[in-house]
Amino acid sequence: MIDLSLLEDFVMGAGESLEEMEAALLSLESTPNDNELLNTIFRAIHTIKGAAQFVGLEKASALSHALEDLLDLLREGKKQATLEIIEILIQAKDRINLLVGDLERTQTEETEVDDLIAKLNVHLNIEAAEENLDDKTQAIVENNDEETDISSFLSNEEEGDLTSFLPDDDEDLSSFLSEEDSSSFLSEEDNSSFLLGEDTSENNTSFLAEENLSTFLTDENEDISAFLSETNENIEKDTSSLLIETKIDNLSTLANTNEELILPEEEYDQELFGIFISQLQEKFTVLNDCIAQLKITHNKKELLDKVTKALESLKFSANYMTYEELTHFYGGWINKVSDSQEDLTITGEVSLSFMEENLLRLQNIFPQLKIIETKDKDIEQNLSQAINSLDTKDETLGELAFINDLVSQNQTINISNDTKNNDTSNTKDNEDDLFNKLSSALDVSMIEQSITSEPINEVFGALLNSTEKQRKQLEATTEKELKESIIEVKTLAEANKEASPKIVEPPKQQKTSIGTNAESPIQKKTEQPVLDNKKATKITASSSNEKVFKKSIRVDADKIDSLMNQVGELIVDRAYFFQLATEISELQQYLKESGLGQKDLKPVRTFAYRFSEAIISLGRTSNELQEGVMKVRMLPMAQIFNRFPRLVHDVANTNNKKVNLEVRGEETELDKMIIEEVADPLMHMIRNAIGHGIESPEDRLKAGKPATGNLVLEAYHESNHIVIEVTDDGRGIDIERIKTKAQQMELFSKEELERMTDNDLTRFIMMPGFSTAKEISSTSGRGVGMDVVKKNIEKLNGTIDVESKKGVETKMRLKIPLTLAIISALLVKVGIDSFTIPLANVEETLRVNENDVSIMEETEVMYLRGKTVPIFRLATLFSIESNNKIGSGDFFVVIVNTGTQTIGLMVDALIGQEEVVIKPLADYLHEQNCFSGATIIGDGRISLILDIYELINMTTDKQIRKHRRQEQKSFSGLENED
Amino acid sequence: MTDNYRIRDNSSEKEQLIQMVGFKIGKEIFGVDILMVQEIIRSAPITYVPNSPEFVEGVINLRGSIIPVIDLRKRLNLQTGDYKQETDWILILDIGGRITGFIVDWVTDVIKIQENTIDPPPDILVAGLQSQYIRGVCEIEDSLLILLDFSRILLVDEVKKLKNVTVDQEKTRMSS
Amino acid sequence: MGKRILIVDDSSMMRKMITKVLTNRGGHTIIGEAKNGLEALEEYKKLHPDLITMDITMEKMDGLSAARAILDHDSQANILFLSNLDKNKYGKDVAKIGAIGFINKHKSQDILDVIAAN
Repeated sequence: MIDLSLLEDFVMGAGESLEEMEAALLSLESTPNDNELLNTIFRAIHTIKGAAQFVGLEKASALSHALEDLLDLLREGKKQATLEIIEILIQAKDRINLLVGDLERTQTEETEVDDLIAKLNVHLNIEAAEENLDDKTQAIVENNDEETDISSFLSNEEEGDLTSFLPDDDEDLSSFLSEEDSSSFLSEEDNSSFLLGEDTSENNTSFLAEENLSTFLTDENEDISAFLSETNENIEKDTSSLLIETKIDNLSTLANTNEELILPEEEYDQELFGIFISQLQEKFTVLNDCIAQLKITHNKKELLDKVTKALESLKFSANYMTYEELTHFYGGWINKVSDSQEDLTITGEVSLSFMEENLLRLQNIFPQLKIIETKDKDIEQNLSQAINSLDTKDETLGELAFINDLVSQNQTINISNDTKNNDTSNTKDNEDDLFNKLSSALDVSMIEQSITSEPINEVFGALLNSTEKQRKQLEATTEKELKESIIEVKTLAEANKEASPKIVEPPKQQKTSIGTNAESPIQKKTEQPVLDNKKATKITASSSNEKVFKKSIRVDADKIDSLMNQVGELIVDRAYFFQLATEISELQQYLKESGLGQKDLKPVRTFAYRFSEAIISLGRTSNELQEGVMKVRMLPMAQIFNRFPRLVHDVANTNNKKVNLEVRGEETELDKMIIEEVADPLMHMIRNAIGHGIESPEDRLKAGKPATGNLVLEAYHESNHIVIEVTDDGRGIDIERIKTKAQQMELFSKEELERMTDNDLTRFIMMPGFSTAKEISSTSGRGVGMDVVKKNIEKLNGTIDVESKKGVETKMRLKIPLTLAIISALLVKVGIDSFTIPLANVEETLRVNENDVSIMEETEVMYLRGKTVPIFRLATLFSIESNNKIGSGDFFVVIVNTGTQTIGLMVDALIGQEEVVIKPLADYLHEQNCFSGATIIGDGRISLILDIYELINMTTDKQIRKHRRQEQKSFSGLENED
Repeated sequence: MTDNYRIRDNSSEKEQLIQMVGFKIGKEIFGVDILMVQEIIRSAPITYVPNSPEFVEGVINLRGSIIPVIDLRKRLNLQTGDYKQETDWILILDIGGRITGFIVDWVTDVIKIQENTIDPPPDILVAGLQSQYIRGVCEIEDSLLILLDFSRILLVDEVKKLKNVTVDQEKTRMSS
Repeated sequence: MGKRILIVDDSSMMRKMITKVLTNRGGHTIIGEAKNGLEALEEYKKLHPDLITMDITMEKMDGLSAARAILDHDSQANILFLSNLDKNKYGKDVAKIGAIGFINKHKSQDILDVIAAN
């Protein structure tokens, strides 16, 4: 039994959940192990399931139940989110969407779901079989928390394996690590003691003596690799039970004895600081990435924007923590970025040295960043860093030099007194933390702690591989890079007094040298512990996942519309007041002329003055109000842009194309009425771009382009309009084919076509029935539908334009007014009536002499820059009396166009340009009519707004009718004057 | 309109009195339930809407709303010949949410009648009026009060049909 | 007799729908909502509802813990668990805690009956 009263809530709520789910699913494709995404999807499905059961929707709850089970497995890491599974999830999401659609329309569940549930069950059953083993491995993972125990336990037991597995190099490796770690501690200690002006070093170092650290790490590294190799073997051979069980026993007994490594409970301030640090770490990574990209990409502006954004949020949080100097430091940095952004526009080049410099400073202040950076990347990177900082003294020296530099520049970041305590207490804590992190860089324990969901096989396999890689990398690097780095570090140490940007180069170089490994699976896994870092209680989404979601309330659209109407009336009232003001000054004039003395006139004059003052104030307020209400109606383009990744995914798949979608300006806002109207045309354009613009991967490779096509969707504001561009780097539009086609269709003669510009010709694709595609595919035929797109855009008083370079790109450009409710318009007069023409349609206004008009096929035409433009008398079209008698010489013509057609409208007079509020007309006045609405002008009178699109249709209809009449009847002289 | 009557039936127990606004076109007296009447205005500047049905006189600005005005005389084909615009009244009615103005010759007082004195519309044409637009008739004093069914008058299909007629007429006019 | 009820569920959609059923069909009054156990506890202390409907899986504090906390605070509290989780698995726990019942979310009539009976 479906509870109909609840259905509406379900439809609405489920829709939201599904949208959320889809976004997460699509991101999941690129980062299949992202637990946060899986959680989002799970939550969405869980919500839907609960609600579906509550309402009594059998199919929806059955499907979501199966989905939930599968997602549970994914979350727990018992199953990998393979592309196949993601595809099923997407299908299932679609199916639920269909069900929701059914429910909305018919209140019943029509769509079948059994096939999908069966599919899901297949995956679920496989899992059930594997679960047994997984449970056991899971147990190990859990016990693994006690890292040192495992290591010591294993190291004792597996001495033999160990040495064979990790040859001499390992020794080096661990010593590198130990040194790098200690160096970073040293540097931190130096920093903090320096900055705080206190000697905190004792506390810091006593806890982690260099010796201890290195021995600890050496042991650990060996142990873990050994443990890994062994465990992996065990699992693969599935002979685990006995061995593992005995181990589990051992482990758990050991576990009881070891508890001192557990971190103390965090207190409030530390928690805050933790959040601060984790945000800093995140942004730091972003900044680092940006700088790396800045060196290679052309789109520097956007990256700089990203940098600014990151810095601003850092500044904000520093401010929040009352780190004044730090806030100041960020401020200066932001200014520099904006300076270099200006440089960029002028010179096209940008100096980034200060960025690297600043990053390094930041790193020195917060040594946590160093660790994060290394951990964030690869284990290999750890090694490279270790190599890099081999010469500890030099490094420290270098850093000290920086600090010196900082001091000399008066930019020392003195963390204020109260935060100092906070900080010192924290450093200790952080060291615990660092300790853990450090070890985790080379061991599994941390990973398991935080992402128990990873299938153990995978983790171990990957780790094993990477250990091997490490070894190889090490072999390769020790000899060559080691020397290089040492030399470089040394030279840099010499140069570092100027704090030259070169200093950062070694790590950069290292980074690129291991760049190829950046995508290795282990990276994603090591990333996880960073995110799950105890202190990072609040995990912010990575920048790529940042969506334009805002705090919002749900308001009935009608309420806003009625508010808008009220505002519209206010605007009209304001216009009326203006009118009154004019009348008062006229009255003043009249009184003066009728002989009233200055003295008697004075009160009138004073009143008139005060009245106009009041009107100006009213005008200001009402303008602001109007703007405000209009903003309420504005929604970010993200609203529809967020749908497109899915569309692109689907269309690309069906067409066997590879497409990368790039979305820009999704925060650009647009009136909610328009946003929905734009969605369909945009969808069509995207289909077109993928179906016909972007070539197949093979063709692209042949043409010397990358196999993956690029589709850019961009929105931005341009005065009172929003511009939306859809650009693909596909094959472009073939001008020659358009010419041929135009000739075939007998639209134009060959000569006419020759005279046309490429842009004019390109626009032909928007004419009805004009398709240049050789074959029409299931999703799109270029041209087919472009006329519809055009029509829809024009309904919004918008325009569409196409630019294309053959073989390079096609750019479709939509330009749409920001709101439908208020438009800029030209007011004209015909007889006693005034009419309003949307300015979007107006090309120009002309004063034309009667002699310039000739008659062609019964229609008046004039020549405008070599083109023939038909002219229609509005008075005749509307059967109203015109003051413009034929034969009176000059008259006014407003040239209007809809993109494809241009006509002239003859009017009596031009009144002027105004912002008008559109009011609807009763349906029976609206239909089959050439008025899109009406507006109230200043004097309270009504002016009808012309629907130019319909008007042109009407005139062509009339022409056709005329033709017919002409065929039927004999030529009537009357019509000549028409 | 019928809804309005029903509500009144239930609520007013005393004699089921209905209050009607009476108005005149030519010599006939018509009535409309007072609950439908939003306001009554003397002639306002009417903006002509080109290509609209013939009986649509145009639109007026009623405190910021744009309201279509129908000439009831033309709509009901009650051509009275000579009427002067200055003396016209416009009845603003709320017909199922559609605010519409109707031009009439003259608005009389509020007329109170008893529900049970209303007779169904006679089959024969009353005052040259098609019975489909009549809700009922009622004798008052010496004359006949015609209760109009405004929702029928504004039925979209009806309007469309009428509009097509006028378009055709226009066509004939143009081609002649 | 209509009861004053506090609804605890992490999904706003569920809260809305439960509210509808309880008010429209049960004639009860919803005096408060909470989206996790912690909020539930706070709201309970503030509002002292006649009855609480409690979801189990929620962030921050789950329904079972919240129920314990509320009953610690007021042993007379009437807590009704509404959950899609396995009744066999949780039914006993729920009874042990001292809740008045455990009903599957989709059995809205049962929910109304139990509420009316308590």
